[in-house]
Amino acid sequence: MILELDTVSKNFEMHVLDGRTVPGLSEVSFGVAEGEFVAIVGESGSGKSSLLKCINRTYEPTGGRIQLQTEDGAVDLASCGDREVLALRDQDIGYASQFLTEIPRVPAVDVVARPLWEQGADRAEARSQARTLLSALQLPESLWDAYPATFSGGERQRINFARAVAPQPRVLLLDEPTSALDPETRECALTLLDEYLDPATTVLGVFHNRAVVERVADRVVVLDDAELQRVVDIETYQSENPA
Amino acid sequence: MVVVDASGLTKIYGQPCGECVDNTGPAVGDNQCPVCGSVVACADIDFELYDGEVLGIVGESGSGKSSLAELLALDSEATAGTVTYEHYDGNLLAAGYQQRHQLQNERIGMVHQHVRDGLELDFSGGGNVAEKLLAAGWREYDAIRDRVRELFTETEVPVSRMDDPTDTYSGGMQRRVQIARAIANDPSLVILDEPTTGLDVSVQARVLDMFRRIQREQDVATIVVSHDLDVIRLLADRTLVMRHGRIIESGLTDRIMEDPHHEYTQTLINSVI
Repeated sequence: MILELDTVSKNFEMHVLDGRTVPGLSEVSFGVAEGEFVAIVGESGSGKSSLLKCINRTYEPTGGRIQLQTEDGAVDLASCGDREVLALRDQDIGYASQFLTEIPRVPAVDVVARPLWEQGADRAEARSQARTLLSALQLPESLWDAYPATFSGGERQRINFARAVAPQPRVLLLDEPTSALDPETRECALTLLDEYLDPATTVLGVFHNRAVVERVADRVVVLDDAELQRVVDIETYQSENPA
Repeated sequence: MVVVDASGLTKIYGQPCGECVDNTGPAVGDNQCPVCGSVVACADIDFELYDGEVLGIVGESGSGKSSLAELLALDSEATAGTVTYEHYDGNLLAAGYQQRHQLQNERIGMVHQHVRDGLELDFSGGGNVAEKLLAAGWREYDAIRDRVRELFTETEVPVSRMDDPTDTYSGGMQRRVQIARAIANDPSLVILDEPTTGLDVSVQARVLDMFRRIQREQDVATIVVSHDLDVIRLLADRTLVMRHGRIIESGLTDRIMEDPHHEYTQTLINSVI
């Protein structure tokens, strides 16, 4: 297993709401094999995004362990130091949030190229690779040098998606990466996952669209009310949930 | 590699009675000692800063952010604590007068919140930058002029204005001249104290973009002090949150913004207009 979650919990203590505790995830355990594509499904508020954010350490888990196998051995993402997380984000973990949170006044092509520079790629080469990705995602060429702040939701989502995919992380976390895309563009994004990523890339993706889940996933993690309901392979998921 | 390692850093204004630290802080809700009236600007500050990293320090006015920045820039004397720094043998806070000046001129760049603390306004902009170079041992007139031109270009100040008095510059240009001064001798530590305060929004953006470019190109360890969460979000990898002179929370900047733990941090994040 490249990634192993063991009783991962996340509670939010809301001081601004009279100190009440809001459960985000409750003792979630499952493992993911290298090269596997795992879809995370569930109702809104079931904990899907919280799960990805705990793995990315945007949220700090309240309990449990998240064991990631790296080239230098196993790391517990739930408890390792902040500096280690930053290094893992540069090399091993890619994350596309639901909404583009890119620094302002950076052209779209540079938003996508930046993770490649940070891995040591040549600037011109990184930009060329970024253009290839933006082209594959059918982002109009006239927007490549523009600032994403003024882009439409679908355009911004494509930038976000390309940025996460570009550096070919070993583990890719995608939070609703195609929710704002029309079916044709969505298919371009999914094709890009097939063709651009190394087959050994492990992907955990939150999806609402059932057709997308069936198109991409090997296994499905079903969350309900912050708890893991079950983990099933895609065939079982399809047979249990006939269209 | 660790560039700065601070431990127990404390600054008290007044005559401390020995109980000032215990009598102040977030739990008490004040930073003035009720016994002796001393003001505990910051106390028990521990952190590490790494090569190429940007560390954000955020907090409201009076939280001790600027006092901490002044201590690290060697602009004021600490009451207690140790700071190890990669270019100094021993406790940096115990450095003698001459050593402090040498470090300030050659190794540590400071951009002050108030322009009068950072620049001689009746000197030319170029003169302000040249002063730093002279202090670091530059002597050859043409070489100094060339380096000032280079730094003006780097910090996007019109070279044609380098011989004009600094008080004829706009606020944004003065901030850029301060940055030019701060990076003049390729320091390994740069401290920015409220880098955008007093600038209008479009100028803030240009100054931040310029600094972010230089920071990335030179990979210099940086401390950014700001009350503005957007500035911290834009620049910092990790962030310390201060209140009443103490660090109340620290962590990855995105974690602080999306999963704030401390009551005050939650209030701060929820206060964004």
